Amino acid sequence: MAMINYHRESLRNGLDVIVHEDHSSSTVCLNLLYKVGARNEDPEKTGFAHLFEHLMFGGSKHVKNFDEPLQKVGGENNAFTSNDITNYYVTIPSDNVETAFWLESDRMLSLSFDPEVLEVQRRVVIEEFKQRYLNQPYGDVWLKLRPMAYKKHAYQWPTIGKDISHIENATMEDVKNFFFQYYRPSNAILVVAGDITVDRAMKLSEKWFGGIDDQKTLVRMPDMEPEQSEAREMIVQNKVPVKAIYKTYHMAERVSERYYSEDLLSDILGRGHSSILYQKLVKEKKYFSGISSYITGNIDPGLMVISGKLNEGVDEKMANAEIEKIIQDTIDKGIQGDDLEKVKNQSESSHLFSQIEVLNRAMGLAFAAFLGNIDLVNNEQQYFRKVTKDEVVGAASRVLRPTNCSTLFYLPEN
Amino acid sequence: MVDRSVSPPIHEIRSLRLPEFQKSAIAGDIPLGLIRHEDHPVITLNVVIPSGALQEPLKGITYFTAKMLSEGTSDLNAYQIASKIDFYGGHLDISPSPDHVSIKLYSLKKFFPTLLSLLADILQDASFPEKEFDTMKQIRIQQIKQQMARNSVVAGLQYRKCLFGETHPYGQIVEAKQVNAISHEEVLGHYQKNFLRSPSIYVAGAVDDIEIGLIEKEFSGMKFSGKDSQVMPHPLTSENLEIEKAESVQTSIRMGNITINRKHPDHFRLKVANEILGGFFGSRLMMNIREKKGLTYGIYSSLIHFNELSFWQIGTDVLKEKKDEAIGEILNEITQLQNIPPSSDELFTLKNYMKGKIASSFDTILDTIDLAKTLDLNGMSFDYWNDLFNAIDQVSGEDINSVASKYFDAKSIRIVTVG
Repeated sequence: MAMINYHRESLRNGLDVIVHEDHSSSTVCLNLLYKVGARNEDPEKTGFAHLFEHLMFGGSKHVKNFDEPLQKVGGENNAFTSNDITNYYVTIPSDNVETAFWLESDRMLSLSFDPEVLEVQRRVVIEEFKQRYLNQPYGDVWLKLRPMAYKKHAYQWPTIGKDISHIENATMEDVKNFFFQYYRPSNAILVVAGDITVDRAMKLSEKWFGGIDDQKTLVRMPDMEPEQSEAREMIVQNKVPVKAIYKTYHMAERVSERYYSEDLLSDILGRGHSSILYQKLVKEKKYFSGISSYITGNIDPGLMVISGKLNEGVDEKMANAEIEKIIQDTIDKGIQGDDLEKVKNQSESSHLFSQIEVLNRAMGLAFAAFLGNIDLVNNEQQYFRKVTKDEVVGAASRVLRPTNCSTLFYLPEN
Repeated sequence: MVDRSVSPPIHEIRSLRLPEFQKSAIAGDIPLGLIRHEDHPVITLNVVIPSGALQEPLKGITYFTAKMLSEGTSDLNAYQIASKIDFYGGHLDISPSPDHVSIKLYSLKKFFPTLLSLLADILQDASFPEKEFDTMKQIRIQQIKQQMARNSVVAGLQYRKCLFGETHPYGQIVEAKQVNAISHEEVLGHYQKNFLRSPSIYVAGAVDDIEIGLIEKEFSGMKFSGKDSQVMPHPLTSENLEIEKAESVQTSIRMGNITINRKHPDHFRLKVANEILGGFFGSRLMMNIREKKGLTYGIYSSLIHFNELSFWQIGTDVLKEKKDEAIGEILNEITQLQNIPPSSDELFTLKNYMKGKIASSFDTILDTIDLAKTLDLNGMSFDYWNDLFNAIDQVSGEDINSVASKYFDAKSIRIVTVG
């Protein structure tokens, strides 16, 4: 397997710099990960990490507009916010890479804090909320599921926020505080990947980021979620075309040893058309038109999710009981035949295909560094390979307990 | 101390490094396009069968004929096929489009021989089990219902229907009740008769002569019927359409017209004009409707090319009560583009942005082979990208006014709104 080479060095202000050389194309990626996501938000001011992702494009101390100078040199960029991180990335022709350093470092130095930018982006985020969460069938499902599964931990709200009023009421002072609390060099990881040498990447990092002062501020950490000890259930009726079931189970955090067997368990149950749930419930019983299981893969203990859409006329309680029966069978009878070898091969294949793109390698390096173990980018497949059938069954009896489960029935109105 | 008030030196993007796209023929006359790339031990193989909406004896039947291929052969049932693909970490993507059916295999190099041989079985020896067909039909009906509940999906379909006409292969909408009427015999008959028309093959990745030899061997034994000689009917454009939905908080807008194809002498200029209007994040529509007015999360203008016809489409989802304001602003932006030449600064930015974007579209082998395929299926050379890259610099501000006036003509623009 091809190894990902990298050079890692911290600047004096604490910025973690990782360089990955690949000269097979003529572009460079700058991936800048800030260690702040929805999990770091104040419960009364949710949606801020994501609002920030928008504000970061609205001008910085010396640059009025982020996109325009980047487009001028042939660069493209985007960003995303998750419950754990906020991640910005630029792809740029290697001749013009310095422009990306200039732009990214200036917005780390300081935003412009232009009131008009706040007003416009507030409206854009509210529209995004409507487009993604209100105007789509099942769009609000995570607004319901998260508070059901999490009672203490900040994973109880999605990145858009608990309530859109938090965005409506955000003040410039809130924005400034959040910026200087989280957007500091020592709270960030910069990956420079592609058609650039380590030497040049380090010189440019030092030149543009080296002079930014670090202020040690208090990073807000979420409360840990106590163990769930009762089955939770909710029924939602809304304008949706068909019935749906969502089941969440608490599972191990991303860096736990148990993570690998639990991830493979979710694949065996519900990844692809040969998976147990799909075969039994879509093909054999015809209760569902589609069903799958997957994990959220968070830095704090995340969720394993089983979700499916029901065929017309099928009773949701019966369908849910059938899912639980399949889970119990898996625990009682163990993992059959080639199932474990299969999901390991799938994992290897997904990994190798994703590595084709330099940007994915850059993001992988940044995320592994964020998790505190950068070598995961090269070792993780070995950890998956080592998992035994007994460990997967162990994972099933540990995670897929009824009292560890929250079930949401999403039904069409009347 | 570094001077942050000025941009670092700007280098014009002068050259494009296109990967090598090799064309040959295997098994007599099956065209094979190939891009080799040894860095990652993976291979994709894409078989494109020219059976599209025009070749359908029954509306919506292509979907089932294509998707049923992997639901059983004389040796393996649906579960065994799915298990085998999954076991070898492969992925098989069968996607019907209005022009053709694309069958794409993603494989690790080490498992390629096994998965290739499975693909060959699926193509030539599909058994179309009735039980699987019944399940698939039920799932398809559910999917259509779910899709039709989304304003943006409905708007996209209705817009194409408006431009091309409801019976046109590019404008038809397949409804749940039509799907329900399709029978197992009809699907099987379509497969046996002439669904498998002579394909084109596209391969990319860590491919050696060994893999090419295997592909040649598998395809040599296959039978395909010849190309179809039917002619694409003329489109029949209808009037604007407004579908009101009381419960919606947003309205999905699609607007534009039928436009010129990629071979037309004005195409490169039109591509630049479209880009400035709504092709990227710094476009005028995005700057005005999203960044200035905050009416939407995103707005794009695109030129979409089918084999026989092309169309221009502006698409956005906006705040429902601001729908008319948004349409007014879009039309304003078009008028501006027709009458006032862009500043040299705006044009410089746009051109370098476009060239940078083109250069980076070949960063991954998966994207590159798709770009080469799209052109090749249209009888166009991969050099299109070099030609476009070089043509961008020649486009003047006046050119943009002139193509915008000619092709974004207000009289021919159709508007479809849903929500």
